[in-house]
Amino acid sequence: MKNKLIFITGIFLVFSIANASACYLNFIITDSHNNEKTVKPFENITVNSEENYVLTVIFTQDHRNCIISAEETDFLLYEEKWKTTKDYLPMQLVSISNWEKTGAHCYTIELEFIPKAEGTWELRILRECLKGGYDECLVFNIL
Amino acid sequence: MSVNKIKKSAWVKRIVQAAFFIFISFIAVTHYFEQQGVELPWTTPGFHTVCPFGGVETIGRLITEDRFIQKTHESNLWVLFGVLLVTAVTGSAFCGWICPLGSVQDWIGRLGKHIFKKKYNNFIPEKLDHILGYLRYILLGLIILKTTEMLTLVFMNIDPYYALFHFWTGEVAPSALIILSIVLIASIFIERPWCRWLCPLGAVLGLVQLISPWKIRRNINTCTSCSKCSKACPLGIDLANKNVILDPRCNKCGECLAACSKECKLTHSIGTKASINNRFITAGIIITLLFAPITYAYLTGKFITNNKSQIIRGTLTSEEIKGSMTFGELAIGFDMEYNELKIFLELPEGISENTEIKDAEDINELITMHVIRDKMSSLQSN
Repeated sequence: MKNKLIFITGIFLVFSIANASACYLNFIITDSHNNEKTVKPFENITVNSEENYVLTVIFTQDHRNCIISAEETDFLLYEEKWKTTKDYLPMQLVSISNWEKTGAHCYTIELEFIPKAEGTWELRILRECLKGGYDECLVFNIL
Repeated sequence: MSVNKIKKSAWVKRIVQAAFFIFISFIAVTHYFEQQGVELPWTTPGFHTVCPFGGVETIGRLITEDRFIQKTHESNLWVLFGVLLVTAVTGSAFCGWICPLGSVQDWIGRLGKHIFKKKYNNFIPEKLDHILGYLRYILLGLIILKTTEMLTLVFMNIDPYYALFHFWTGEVAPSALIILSIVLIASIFIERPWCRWLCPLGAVLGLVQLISPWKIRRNINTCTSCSKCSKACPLGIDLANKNVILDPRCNKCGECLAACSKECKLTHSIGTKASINNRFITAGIIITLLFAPITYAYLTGKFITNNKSQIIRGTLTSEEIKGSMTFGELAIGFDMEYNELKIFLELPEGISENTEIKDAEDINELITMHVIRDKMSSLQSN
């Protein structure tokens, strides 16, 4: 009986870590042909100028009851807040949805954008918090 | 050193364990209240930033991308360095003397010893106990792979150490609370179940300690084979049938030394020399080795516990300006006084030196990053 208990505990442990979906932020890029690609920070993302893309961001709290809301996530393009009114930025933000709760401790937002200026640009995703927060960049290579 | 003196000095280890437990509790509690907005006369580093295992977890990304996993920083590497130094010199004494989770298991284990007496620590067959010890390495590998893949501290989902110091905050994943509960309950039946079977940091230290010159050694010429040392070992290591203890589970707790029935048959030494059976000296060496690199890093400004870039006066260029910088930091970077910068950028009321540049446009829509960057660029040109 005790051996079974140990075995079950070990399986539980390994299962928990193997299926950890608590990736703090996940990113999916969907192009105008509805092709989806999961992208990671600092991985080069090639996009074509003047084409429509949708960036889906899935935020999962790793600290339960996080005092920093999903809405306090900043999207900085070239270190400036990415807004639909800013047509001078290298990527034009066409629309941005509201953060929606899509699961336990899980929130999703969609940003539709059009790359404009050729070159390499960093979209910085920033959550500021005394517990470490989040600070990563998606690197877009606009052709 | 006489056997009586060794036994009496057991309180030295308990004091060291209690001191570190209180110290880590202090960090966890004060940082939590700081985050809730309580103003304290000091700043406490984040709990994750002083965890040695955080240094292990971030190694994969450091090697592949020269970046840290979220919530880990240079501070983790310095603490890990201190722990590795302790281990490389004295063996896994960090586990036996310092680790708060190990200490809690020890304290609960005393209750188990009181309840079960001779049956305590004998519930698991030796062979199974030995096999289960390999789970540590599987868990370590899995954690490093997953952490490098997901770029976040996935171990937090099951980490009983984090759960132990944060169970009261509502922040801990249920899976971690379950693991902690199982570990604490199991400690009543068997000594240090987490350490002996699952601890991923222990897996690392168990390998590093193989290079430690100081080992527990048995003098086969004078040993009477009474096996008291084996019975005293909380981790079930069979010392009585070994001349030198190379078992990676040994955490230098010293219980075998205290239990040895004849004076100094078991020693903690390099060969026949440099014997450290004195727990006072052991404590001094462990604490010195642990804190030496941390103290050096702190005094030289290398003990970094956050993402903020270290701004050196007068060295910033317009291209290096970050949205998360404050106007005060911007002034320092351009070797200006804040008031001077305020006038130059025509900053309105409502913006202070602690305002982050990215947030300025929420106060006045004309103060955007590209405007600031252009102005600072023109200042540089002049």
